[in-house]
Amino acid sequence: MPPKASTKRWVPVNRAASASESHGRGEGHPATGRVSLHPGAPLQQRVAPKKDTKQWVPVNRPGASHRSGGCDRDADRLSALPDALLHHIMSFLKAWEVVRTCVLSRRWRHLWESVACIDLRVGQGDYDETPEDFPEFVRQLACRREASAPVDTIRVRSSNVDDAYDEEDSKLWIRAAIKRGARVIHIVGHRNGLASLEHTAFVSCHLKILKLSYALLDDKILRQLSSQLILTMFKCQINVNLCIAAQNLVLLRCISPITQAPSFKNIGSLVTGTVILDDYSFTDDFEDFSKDELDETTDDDESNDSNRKYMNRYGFGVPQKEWISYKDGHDYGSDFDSDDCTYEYSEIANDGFSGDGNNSSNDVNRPAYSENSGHNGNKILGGHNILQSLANATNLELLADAGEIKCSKDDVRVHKVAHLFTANGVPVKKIFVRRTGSTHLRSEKIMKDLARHELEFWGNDEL
Amino acid sequence: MEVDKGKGEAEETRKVAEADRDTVTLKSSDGKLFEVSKEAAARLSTVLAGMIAGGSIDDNGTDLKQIGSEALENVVDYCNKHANSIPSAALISSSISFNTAPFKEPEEWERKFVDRLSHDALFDLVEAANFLGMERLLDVTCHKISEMMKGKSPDQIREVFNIKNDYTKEELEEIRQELAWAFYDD
Repeated sequence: MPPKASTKRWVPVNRAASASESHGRGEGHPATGRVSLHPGAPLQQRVAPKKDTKQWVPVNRPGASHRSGGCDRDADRLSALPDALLHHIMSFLKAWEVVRTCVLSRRWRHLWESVACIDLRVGQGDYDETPEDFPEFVRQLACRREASAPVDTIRVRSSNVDDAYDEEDSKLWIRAAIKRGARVIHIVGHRNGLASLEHTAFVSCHLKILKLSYALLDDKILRQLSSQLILTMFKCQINVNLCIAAQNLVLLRCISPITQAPSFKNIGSLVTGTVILDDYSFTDDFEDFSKDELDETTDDDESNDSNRKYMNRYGFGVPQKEWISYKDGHDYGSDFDSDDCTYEYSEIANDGFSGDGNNSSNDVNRPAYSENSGHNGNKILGGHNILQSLANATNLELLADAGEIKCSKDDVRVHKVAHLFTANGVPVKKIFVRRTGSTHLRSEKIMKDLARHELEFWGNDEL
Repeated sequence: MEVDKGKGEAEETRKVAEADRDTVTLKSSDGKLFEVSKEAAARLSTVLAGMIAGGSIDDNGTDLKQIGSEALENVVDYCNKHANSIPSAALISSSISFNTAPFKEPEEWERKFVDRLSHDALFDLVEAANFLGMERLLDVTCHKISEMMKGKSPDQIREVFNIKNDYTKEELEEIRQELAWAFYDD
């Protein structure tokens, strides 16, 4: 920045500039002006250091030409945005990037102090960027930011591979954020170590969205979920029989749980719930799979290439208009009995598992899950817990009264799902398949769309 | 399914005055008319939703004096594309999920949509989205801008956005010292 002293002199010009609207109206005026005023422009530009030209640019930026949609090439459109929008933009940056914007110009001097979204996740690409003493950075950030500014969102990686900080640090930050009334908490484990959350209690009436990725969950952690909450669990390992009992859970996403699915209780206020299971989630092969998976996954679980991984997934929806549920004996009538497209599953049950039954190598319906009851340390749990998930769908079902399996009867998944239900004690007679007139293709499309949509909506929202 | 259409469409200033129109006509600051589906407008823009609900939509073109025709064309284009690309509208529009769900990454088509915009068009669109209360579009555009800042040195950021460094050398030095904790030693 060579012309330091002189830059200063230009400040008032800038300030006053907004008043001189005449410039702003002239579309492209500054740009052409620069060229035509200097007949030798090309040469000069080549000679003059780029930054210098830029430094002086603001003379030409009477700015505020927005309304005319002018192509004022030299205008600083960014700084001209209102604080709220700049804060919004900054909410997509990592915390240290946010703080560093203060050196850009006076306009930016104090903006960082009141950004409500604090993203402390150190990703793989960030290592040469992050402040050296990370805990110190967070401490300073906490005490130097505007005291009255709310903390809306905090995103934390539970620990750091380089030992820049450890879980105690991250727990401290989360607690601090909860104290400040954070509305959104996002905790990401590490590919080399799932986040353990034993002593983190998410008790807060402000907490509205809790997102856990690569976290290790057990019964105690989520016991006290309070307030109207949206809970997303992305690739969380669920060890002991986890029962999520949260009266106020509004929206639940459980995406690719590892080892077993949680069961749900008392979720009467749930409006939308989705459980997405991997083909492999509940098979003997899971252990191996999980290693691969965790190793190759980038730290930020939003990696786009995870698209592919989603293709073999089931969407288990339990909300109003979601994808799969079952009707309990006593109330299926309302929707089902008048529909001649509906038939009992038993009618087509024999079609299943022939031929393409082994479509996917890891079949949820493996006998592996039928017996286990969760006491065997390494045994992979399956059906029983899905049982709980879905048997509790009686609870869910209160809200899901138009449930249906949306795929063609040719689709092997129908049988898998049906098998799942029967294995979980739902009599075959109570499972109905409604034919919607859809062709195999159409239903495949629906499933694909669902998978894609799910991915986009939840798999990718990490940033 | 994503046909790249609907750009010129709006230009044809058809003044259909049918009673049960399912589109609304919007008028840019420079007087151009654009049509957009009522459903999409109401779903994507809180401001338009309010106007539709409040009956303050003018069949001959609702005046949006803050928004130039280029930006408005992009807004309409976005609405059309959005309507075409959502596999399950039920999920999206289900009351809570959309308003309170955390930001989700732009979808592929949204990325393309903002990537093709010129610098100025991008900012015009940010302002239009802000003005119209289009939360998602605002997210996508702001996210795009944040990506233009990511991984860049202050000098590089200034260059991209034409930000004038109006600090003196001494001031800058002072700030760097005061906030040394936030910088990587270089």
